Amino acid sequence: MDYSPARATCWIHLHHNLYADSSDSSSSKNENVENFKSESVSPHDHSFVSSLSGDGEGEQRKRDSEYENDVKNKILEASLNFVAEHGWTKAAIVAGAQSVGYPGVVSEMFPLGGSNLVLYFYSVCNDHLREYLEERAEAESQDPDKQKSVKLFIYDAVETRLRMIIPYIDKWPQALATLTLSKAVPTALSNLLILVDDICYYAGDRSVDLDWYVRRIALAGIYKVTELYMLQDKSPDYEETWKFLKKQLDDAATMYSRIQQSEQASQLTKEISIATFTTARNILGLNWKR
Amino acid sequence: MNKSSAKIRPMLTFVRHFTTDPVSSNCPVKVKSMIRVDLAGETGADNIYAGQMAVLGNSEYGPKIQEMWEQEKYHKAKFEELISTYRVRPSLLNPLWKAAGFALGAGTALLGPKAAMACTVAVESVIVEHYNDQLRELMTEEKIDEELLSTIRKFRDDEQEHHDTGIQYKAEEAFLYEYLTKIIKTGSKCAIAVAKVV
Repeated sequence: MDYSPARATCWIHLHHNLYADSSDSSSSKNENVENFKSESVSPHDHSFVSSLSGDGEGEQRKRDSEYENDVKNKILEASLNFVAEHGWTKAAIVAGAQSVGYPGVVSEMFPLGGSNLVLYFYSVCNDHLREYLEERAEAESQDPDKQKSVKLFIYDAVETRLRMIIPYIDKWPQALATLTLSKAVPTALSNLLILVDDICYYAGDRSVDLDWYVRRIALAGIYKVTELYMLQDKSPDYEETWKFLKKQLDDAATMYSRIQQSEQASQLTKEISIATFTTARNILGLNWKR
Repeated sequence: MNKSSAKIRPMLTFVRHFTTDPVSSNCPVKVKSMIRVDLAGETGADNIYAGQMAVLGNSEYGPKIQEMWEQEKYHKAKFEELISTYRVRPSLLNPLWKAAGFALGAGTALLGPKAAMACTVAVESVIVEHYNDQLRELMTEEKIDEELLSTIRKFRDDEQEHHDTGIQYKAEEAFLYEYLTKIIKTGSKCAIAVAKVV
């Protein structure tokens, strides 16, 4: 079959052209039509300018891809409603696309199929969490009474994030499986990294050393383990999961203090090396004031 | 041939994703990489002076080296502040930059104070050049980051001063000055290239 992603995109443009002709009254469609109109006209307007400066074309391409992303996000957002029925599959995307007025073939715009849908959901949840954490961090900074310990903040953040999965919990094992497809792994990893980085940042982590990596990797591990625990948790309101999470965080805190102790040991090695230098200096006679 | 490249490509994308900064902020990737490499550089410089002080601390060169060291400490602190406000991933090889810096500083200082000054001249000239490149690049940005620009400009001037101090303290009379500086310059340039990414 030759329904390539490019073709699917072309189809959307064509589709909107049709809408432009038959004055459709739906507001969201009209908005898209406006978008499309301005885009279809602008190349001619700017052709002279772009031949002079050369960046008109780049601008145009940028707007094109922005527009394409908007459409993609709209389709994926609608597709989430069909996850309960079809799972994280192409079928859900097809159903979602049809529900917002695009034909099923536009699902070819998503070369990873179900994985694209999972990745979209993941990053949307990350965005929600970021907004939430931002608000909380601000509220805490304004009102010192509300300030909680870092551990509580992290606990709360992870819980909030995990709760976003609950509506899809039945199909979540399938989602985790699709993320292990080799093509989806890089984006899935960077999504996870964004998640833990946001939590660490708003929890007040300002480390600039290897600590930066240690904290984020540890938190990513805790998040993933708790997520897996949650999948098989049948207790009301996932009580067991939150208990499990608390225990994991406590363990990590203990471990972290151990690491810090070993850092003191490395400080000792540094002092020893400096002492060795001083001794060497004395032996070589460099220590005399000359 | 084709088969092996097909295997390598996913690995490369993996590495690329893992080494890009996780935060979706407005700060362009280019600027983030700049701050990362600058902090790595200043960490190295801080440790070079620490190494020199460990050897030459009590000699007549001590106070001058101490003075330059204090400035490097301030630079490092400033970039540490920037790295958390811009939410930049710090360099993974930070411990390496520390160790290499200290070894370089102490090693050249053991060759003699003039060699230590030659090391300062070599490193600072590379850093000045590097900061100048960054300034040029920042100027071409659509939205010029004034704070970063003025910080780098000021630090560039400081480093230039250190370079001149090195010359003033007879760096050029060091044994095998030409070769020594060439080696150190190449090493510093390699370190900069690596720290931009990792």
